[in-house]
Formats: sequence, C-alpha cells, structure tokens
Amino acid sequence: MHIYVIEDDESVREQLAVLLQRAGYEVTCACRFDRLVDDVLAASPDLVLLDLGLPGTDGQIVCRELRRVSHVPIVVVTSRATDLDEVMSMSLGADDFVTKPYNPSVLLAHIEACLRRVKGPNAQLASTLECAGVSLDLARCTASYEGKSVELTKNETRILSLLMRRAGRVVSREDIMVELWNSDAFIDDNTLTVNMNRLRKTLASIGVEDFLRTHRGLGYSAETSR
Amino acid sequence: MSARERRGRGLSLVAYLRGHAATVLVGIAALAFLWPLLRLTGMTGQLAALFVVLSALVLGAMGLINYLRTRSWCQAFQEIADEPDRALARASEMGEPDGAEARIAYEALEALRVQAAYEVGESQRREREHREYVETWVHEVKTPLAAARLIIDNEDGRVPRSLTTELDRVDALVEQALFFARSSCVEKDFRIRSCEASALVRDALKSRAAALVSARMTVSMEGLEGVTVFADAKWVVFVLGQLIDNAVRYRREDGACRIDFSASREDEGKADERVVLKVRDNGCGVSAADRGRVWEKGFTGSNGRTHAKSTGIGLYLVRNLCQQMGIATSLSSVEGQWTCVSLTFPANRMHMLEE
Repeated sequence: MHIYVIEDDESVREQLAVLLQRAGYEVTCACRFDRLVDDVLAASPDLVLLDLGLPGTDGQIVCRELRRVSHVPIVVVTSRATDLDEVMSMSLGADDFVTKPYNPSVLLAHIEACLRRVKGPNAQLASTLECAGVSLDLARCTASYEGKSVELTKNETRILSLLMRRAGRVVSREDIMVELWNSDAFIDDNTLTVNMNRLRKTLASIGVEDFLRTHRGLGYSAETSR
Repeated sequence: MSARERRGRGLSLVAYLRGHAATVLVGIAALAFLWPLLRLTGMTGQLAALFVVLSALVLGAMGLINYLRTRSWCQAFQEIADEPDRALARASEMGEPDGAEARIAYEALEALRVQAAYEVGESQRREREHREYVETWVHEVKTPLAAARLIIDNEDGRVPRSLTTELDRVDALVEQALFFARSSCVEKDFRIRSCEASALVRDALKSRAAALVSARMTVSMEGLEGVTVFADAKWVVFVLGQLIDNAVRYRREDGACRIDFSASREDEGKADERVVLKVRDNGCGVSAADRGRVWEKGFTGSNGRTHAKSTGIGLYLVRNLCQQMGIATSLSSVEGQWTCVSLTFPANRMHMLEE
C-alpha cells in the first residue's frame, strides 16, 4: 500500500514517513506544493494524507481539486479542531479527519480503517506482525504458530501487537493500558492482569510457550527468538 | 432629585420656570412698570388695565410656546437619560431636533456617540486580534507537539514515558489557553448538536489516558449508552477533561482511586426535561467553606494550598463555557470522601433551534 504524505512541516513529515514505513506502508512525501494535484496523480497512491495548513495554498482547495480528478481516499490532518473544519473537509470530499496533536496509533488506525473501507475487507494491508515464529494477523485478530492458528479477542490482539512491535524490550503495564484506552477499552490494573493471563493461555493452546515474559514491577516483553 | 425620580417625567413647567426665573421676573417688572407709564400719558384706568392684561397674555403665550418647544426636544434627550444601559442605541435612533440650542446639544451628543462607537469598536478589534493570535498560536504549536509525539512513538519505547506525560500536560495547557480565549469572546463559535454522552466521555478519557493510568484510577461509566445531549462536542470534551484533571489532582492518597461517570434523564416527558451527567470521584473533596467559591476565577481554596498545580482556572472555564451552551453546573462534596460535579443539559429541542 502506497501513501502520499502532504505535510509542510519538515519534522512532522519525516517522522510520519518513519511511522508509516514501519507500519509497512510505502511512503512518498510531497516536497513542493505548487503542483500538488499533478504530483499526486503521477504517484497514483492508495491513500493521501493531507495537512490542511499548507504554505501558499489552502489544503481545502487541494482536497477539492484532488477529489475532482481522482477517487483516491483522502485522510485530512489539521490542527484546527472545530466542528466547522470537520464538516467542511468532509463536504470537500475527504474520507476521514484527524486532529493534531494526534496519537500516532490513532492516526494509523484511521488510515487502516479508511483503506479497508475503500479497498474492501480482504485488502492486503500491512497488518501482519512476525516475531520468533509467531505471526499476528491484525485484520483477522488471529495468531498463528507452526501452521496452527487461534482467534484472539480485540484487547488480546492490541496487547500482543504492542509487545511484538517492541519485541525484545520491556513494555510497561502503563504503556499497554494507555494503548488499550486509546481504543475505548478503559481497563484497570487488575483487568490487564486477567487479559495477560488469558492471552498467555490462548497462545499456549497453539504451542507458543514462554513467548511473553513478565518483568516484575516493570512490565512485559515479547521474546525475539526462541 | 435623583435620576430615578426624574425618570420619565420630562421637563415640568415648574422646572422650566425656575430655570427662566430671571426672564419671568423681568417680564413681571415690565408689566408692573407699564401701568404707571400708561396712566402718565393720560390714558383712562380701564384702557390702561386692558393694555396691561393684553401684554401679559402675549408674554404668557410666548413663554408657553417656548416651553412647549423646549419640552419637545428635551423629551428626546430625556429618553436617552432614562435608559442608561441603552444610551448609545437610543442616541443613534434620535433624529435631528429643531432649534439652534437643541441642534448644538444634538451635535455634542453625536460627537460623543461617534467617539464612544469608535472606542468600543477599537477595543473589540483589539480583543478579536488577541483572540485570533491565541487561536493561531495554539494551532501552530500543535505542529511541533505532533512532531514530538511522532518522534517518541518512532523511538518505540526507548524514550521514557514520563516525557509523554509531560507532553500531555503541555497539550492540556495549550487547549486551556484556546478555550480561555474563546470563553471571553462575545461571538458564539460553538455549534449545538445532538451528541452521544458515552462518546463525549470516552473522548475525554482518551485525552487524559496517560494521567489516569499513572494515577491508577479506576473508571466506570453508568447509564451513558444511548443518552444524547445537546451541546458542542469539542467544548464538552474539554469541560470533562478539566473535571478529570481535578479528579486526578485531588485524588486520595491511599490508592483505590475512582472516577465514575453517570447519566440520567430527569422529568422525562415534561417541558423542562433534562439530562444530568455526573462526574464523581472519591478524592479529597471540597470543604463546605470553599464550595461556594470553586467557580470563581483564580480561586484555589484550601485544596489549592495543599496540592501543587492548582490554577483556579479549570472550574471557572467549566462554568463559563457551560453557561454559554445553556448547561447548568453544580458541585456537591463531602470533605475527605468525594466530589461530584453535575452538568445539566436541557433535553428540550427548542434550545437547538436558537442556533
């Protein structure tokens, strides 16, 4: 999947590129803003990430122009967080709307949801994580190991994906909880313990043992090799 | 005589005469002088008396005409004085009066009105400029903040989480500055729409996730599903964020901290049907002495002295923003046990039609 990033702030642009590349997307960044529509058409991306506050041109105009000549999904990013901006962008043809300062995982979730909406549920999204022989399919919420696979709950999937993305490093309980909160699961400390235990049991059912380690007082980590 | 007593009476004849006492006295003296003068010319008493009476009538008629004219233009000025709150509006409605004196007074009033209008306009312009600057600044500062968050995330957990917490605090303060600028603004820039209470609470919780998780707060939500309220979503999420900040700041120290959100519909089916959204914590509470003043700007009370980072801005903004949206706010508490802030949303849809 190819994402075209239109963002005027250099550090945000660079960091966005890193974030998206790590999430498995191919990324092109706009480096000039005078012939944006032509540049986007030439690159023919699967999705455009558009910042509304561009120099010299209004992001909303770009959005409208782009929509006139292409059906490419557009996710608008803006720091102007008023309802009016949201309504305007949507009426100009944007598919989704994210306000700054966004949480990176929220942004990724919006992009993925948008791609899935446009490309259909079976789109080949960059949604598989692999680590020490264990693979996690984020779209289907399944973990597989040596040909066996098992379904995970949403919370288990989120926990496992965070641990696998940071494999080999300790992830604190707080980090895991904040990640879950960001997807509407406002769990407390005890519930996290229950979730962790259940996740371990589920993984054990497909033969994955000792994959997730507990670091007392610190958090959890996923093993990089076994 | 006070202004209130004078109100609405206009120029009375007595007051007019008192103001023209010298003219009246000269007139009477002239009449009194006329009688002996006429007699001296050898006029008969009857004829002289007729002359004097006729002269008196002419003088009286002139005085009356002058009184009526003066009263009519004074009436317009009187109306301005009667409504000090709307003085500027009344002055601009006033037409140009007849008579030289009246015109001078009118011109002076015009000059005052023009200068006042200019100065009001000027101060409104400055206020608007300041507000626009704050809004632009807030939007600008969000870009480096977004960059910082991306950097932290791209470092994949190698950056201490405390940095994220600090960034959250900067976000919250920046947001507060934005809403402070909005709160003092005369123009309404919110849109009342139907919102899901549960979505509002969830958004507010997410914006404070790191702080709530580090404080080990347990969150519960009750009766929120399916409840809709009429408000501006962004504003209410900000308001709830302030209440969450308070719950975190004034939490109990022995652990087991809770924050509970609940919603209920009151007087259902009646004209004043309303939705009450309650945010209740089990923190240190507010003393009875402080309870009445918590909504004041800059008031921190006894909790403010014992807890760092009390600003006295949060609840002030909460009440201010809620008032603008027609949401009633109230706080109840038992010191040392709990605090509960209620937001009462009118359920009546007529409220929406105002927009």
